Amino acid sequence: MKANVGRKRGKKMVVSFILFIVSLIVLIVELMPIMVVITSGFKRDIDIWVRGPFCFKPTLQSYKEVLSNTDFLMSLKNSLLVGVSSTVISIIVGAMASYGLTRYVFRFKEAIAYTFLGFRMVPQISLVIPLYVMFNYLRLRDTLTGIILAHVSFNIPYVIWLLLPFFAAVPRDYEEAARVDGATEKQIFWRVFFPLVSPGLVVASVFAFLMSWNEFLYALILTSVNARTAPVAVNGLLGQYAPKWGQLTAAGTIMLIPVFVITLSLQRYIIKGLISGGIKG
Amino acid sequence: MPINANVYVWLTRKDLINDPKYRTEFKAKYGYDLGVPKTFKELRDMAEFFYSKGIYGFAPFTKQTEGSTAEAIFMFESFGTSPLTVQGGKVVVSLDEKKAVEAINFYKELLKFSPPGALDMGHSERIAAFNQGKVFTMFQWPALVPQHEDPNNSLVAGKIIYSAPPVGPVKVAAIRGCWVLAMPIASKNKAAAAEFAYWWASYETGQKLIPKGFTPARSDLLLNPNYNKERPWFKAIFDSMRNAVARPRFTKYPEASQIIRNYWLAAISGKMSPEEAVRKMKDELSELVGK
Amino acid sequence: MSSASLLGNSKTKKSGGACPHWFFIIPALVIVFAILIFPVIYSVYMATFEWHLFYSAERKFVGVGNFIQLFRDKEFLHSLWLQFGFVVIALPIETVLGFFVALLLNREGKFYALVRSLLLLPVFILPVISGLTWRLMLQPGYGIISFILEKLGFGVKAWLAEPDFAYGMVIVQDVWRMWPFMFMFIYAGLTGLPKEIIEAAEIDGARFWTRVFKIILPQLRPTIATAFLLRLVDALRIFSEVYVMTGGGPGNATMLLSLYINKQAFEFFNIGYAAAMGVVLLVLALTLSFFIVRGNIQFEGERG
Repeated sequence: MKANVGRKRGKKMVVSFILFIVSLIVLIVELMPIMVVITSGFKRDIDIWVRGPFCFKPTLQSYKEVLSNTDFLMSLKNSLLVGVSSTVISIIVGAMASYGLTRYVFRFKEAIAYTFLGFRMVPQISLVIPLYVMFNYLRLRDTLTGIILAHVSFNIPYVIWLLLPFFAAVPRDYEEAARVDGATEKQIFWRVFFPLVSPGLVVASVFAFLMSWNEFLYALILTSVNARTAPVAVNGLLGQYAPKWGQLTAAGTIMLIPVFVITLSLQRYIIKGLISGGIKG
Repeated sequence: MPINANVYVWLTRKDLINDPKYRTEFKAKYGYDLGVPKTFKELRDMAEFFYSKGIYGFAPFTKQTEGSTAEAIFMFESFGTSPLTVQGGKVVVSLDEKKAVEAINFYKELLKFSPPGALDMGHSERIAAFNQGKVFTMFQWPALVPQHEDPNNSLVAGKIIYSAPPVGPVKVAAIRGCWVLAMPIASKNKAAAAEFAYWWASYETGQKLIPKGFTPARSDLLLNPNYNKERPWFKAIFDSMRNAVARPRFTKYPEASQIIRNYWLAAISGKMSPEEAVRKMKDELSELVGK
Repeated sequence: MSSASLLGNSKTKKSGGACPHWFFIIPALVIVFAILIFPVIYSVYMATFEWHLFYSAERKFVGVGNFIQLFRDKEFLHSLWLQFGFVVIALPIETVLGFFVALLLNREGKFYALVRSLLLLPVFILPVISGLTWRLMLQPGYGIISFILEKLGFGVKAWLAEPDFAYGMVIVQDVWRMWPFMFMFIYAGLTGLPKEIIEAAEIDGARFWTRVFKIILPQLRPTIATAFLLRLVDALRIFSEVYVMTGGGPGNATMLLSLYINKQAFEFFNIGYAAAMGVVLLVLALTLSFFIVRGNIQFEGERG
C-alpha cells in the first residue's frame, strides 16, 4: 500500500515537472519575436545585417537616430492625440448610448442595438474606400479631425458593446432611490451609473486607446504628411533605402512600451473585459 | 523640363576588379582583363566568374512595380527592340519577337548569378545586398546612389566605380525617367510658375541643392570638377544621358506598363516560355493600343 | 451579480421628460450614422459605377456590372481562395493550441500565473510591429529564423521571396499572434465553470483525456464557438500585418482579400470596382456577425 502511494506521488511529480518544462518552452518560443524587437533596437542598422542575429553589442545609436527624427516624433505625438481624443469621445458617447439601451424600454431598441453591434464588424478596407472619397470632399484628408473620426467609427460600437453588461448589471434599487430623491435623468446617469460601471469604463478606455494606438489602415490611406500616425511612420522606415532595422525596432519598442505597461498592469480588467461581452454568465 | 537627372547608372566594385588574384584567374579563364563590364558579354562572363567565387555577379530588380518595366525595356532596347514606339502622337506596337526572346534568355542567365530572392527583389533588397558587399555589379537610380556611399549604412562606400550601362548587342540603353517640372495649360499664374522653373533649373540653385541630395540635370553641374571627387556618379549620369532611352509614355502607359511587366516577370521566372510571353505581351498591347 | 440580461430588465417606460432615452442614444446614433452607416451605403452606390479616382466626373453607371466582373476576375478569385485557405488553416490551429494550453496552464502557483499573463503580450502587440518583426526574422543571412533554417540544412534563401513559403509564414505570424487570444478566452471560460468540472480538468492520468472530451469540451463549446466567430470576423479583414510583411507578394502569393481591394482602390484607382469588392467582403462579415450578436444578446425572459 505504502509503495503504491509513493509511486502515485512520484508519478504526479514527474508529470508536474514535464508540464513545467512544456510551459516554459511555450513561453520562450512565444516571446522570442518580442525579444527580437527589443534587442534589435539596441543595435545599429548596419550591424543588424552585417553581424547576424546572435552578435549583440548594445548601443543606443538607433534610439538616438529615431528620437532625433522629427517626423517620427511628430507621428508619435499624433498617435497620442488621436488615441486620447478618440477614446474620450467614444467613452462619453458610448457610455451614454449603452446606458440608454439598457435602462429604458422603447421602440426600435433591439434594432438600434443590433445596428451598433453589427456595424462593429465592418471590414476596415470596405469602409476606407467611401471614407477616402468623403474626406476628400469635406477636406478632412490628412487632418487630425479626420483620423480621429475614423477611429471613433470602430471605438464607439466597441465601447457600447463592452459596457452593455456593466450597465445592465446595476440593480434597479439604485435608480429608484435616486429618482425618489428627485434626481433628473442626466444626474442619474452621471452621478449614479457612471461611477458604478467604472471597472467597465477602465476596460473600455484601455481597449479603445490600444485599438486606436495600433491602428494602421485608416492612417495609411487617410493621412499623408500632417496627420500621420506612428505605425505608418514606422513602416516608412523601410523604403527605398538600405533597411533601417535598428531604427525600426527601436521605434517599435518605444511604441510597445505603453502597450505592455497597460496590458500587464491591467490584465485582470482586460481579461474581464474581453469575456464580459463574450460569454454568458 | 527635367526637375532632376534620373537615369540608369551602372555600379561596379572597384576593389574586386583591382584584386590581383581575381585579375590573374579571370584573365586565365576568359582571355581578357577584368574591368568595368563594357559589353553584355563581359557582364555575363564577369558575373559568372564572381559567382564561382562566392560573390553574386548581378542584382536584378523584379518587384511587381514600375522598376521591373524599366528593366524589361532596358533589356529589350539593348537587344534592339522596344514593345511600343510613340511616333508623332501615335502609339505603335513594335516588339520584335526574336530579339525580345534573346533579351529574356540573357536576363535569365544573369539571374543565375544573382542573390537569393532574385525573383522578388526591390530597392531595399538590392541596396542591402550591394551594401553588404555581396554583389559585384548592378544598375541604380541616381537618387539612391548616396545610400551606397554612406559609411553608416554601407560596407562598400568608396569602393564603387560609376559608369554608363554596358553595351547590349545593339546599343547602350540607359533607362531615363527624369521627374518633371511642368506647367498645366490651365495655370492661372504662368509667369510665376515659369520664374520658379527657371530658378529651380539654374546653376546657382543647383549648387545650393546638391549638398542636400539633389541630382542636377545640367551638364555644367554634372561635369563640374568641384563635385567629381565626392560624387563620382555625376559623370556617369552625364554619360548615361547621352545614351538614354525613354519608356514609351502615352495616356494609357500605366496599363501598358503592367502588361509588359507581367509577361516579362512570367518569362524570366520560368512560369511561361519566353516565346509565349512575348507573343501574349504583343497581343495584349495591341488590344490596349487599339482601344 | 444578478443574471441580468444584456439589454437590461426595465419593464416600464420611464417618466421624466420627453423620451429621455433618446438624449442618451442620439449622439452615438448621429456619429455612427455619419461615419459608419452612411459611408457603407455610399460604398454600395460607388460599387455601381465604373469609377476612376482621378476622373470622378467621368464615372459611368454600370449597375451590377462590377459585381459580375469580380466573379470573373481571376485575381479576385485567387485572393478569395488565399483568404479562405488562411482562415481554414490558421483558425483551427489557434483554437486547438489555445484550448490545450488553457488546460496546461490551469494550475496553481506564481509560475503559471506569470506565464498566463506574459502570454497576453503578443495579442496586444501592434499588428504592424508584428509583421515587420517577422519580416526581419526571415531576412536571408541575418534574420534569426533564416539563420536557424540555414543551420538546419535548408540553405540560404530569401524565404519571403518564395511564394508558398511566404504564404505559410503569413499564417504562422497570425497563429503566433492570436492563439494566446483563444487561450485567454477559453481559459477565462474554463475558470468560470463550476468547481467540480474544473477539478476534472486537472492533468493527472489516463482518464484525463476522456474527462476532457466528455465533460469539459461540451461545457466550453459556447465559449469556444464565440471566440472562434470573433476571430473569424477579424481574420477575414486582416490587412496590416500582411501588408508590411510581404505587401501581397511575391507576385500575388499573399494577396489576401483586403490587400487586393487596397491594390485596386489605391494603386490602380478603380474605386468603383474596389468598392464592389468591399461590399462583398462587408456582406460576408456582417452575415457572420449576425450569428455572433444573436448568440450574445439575451432579452428579457431568456435567462432565468
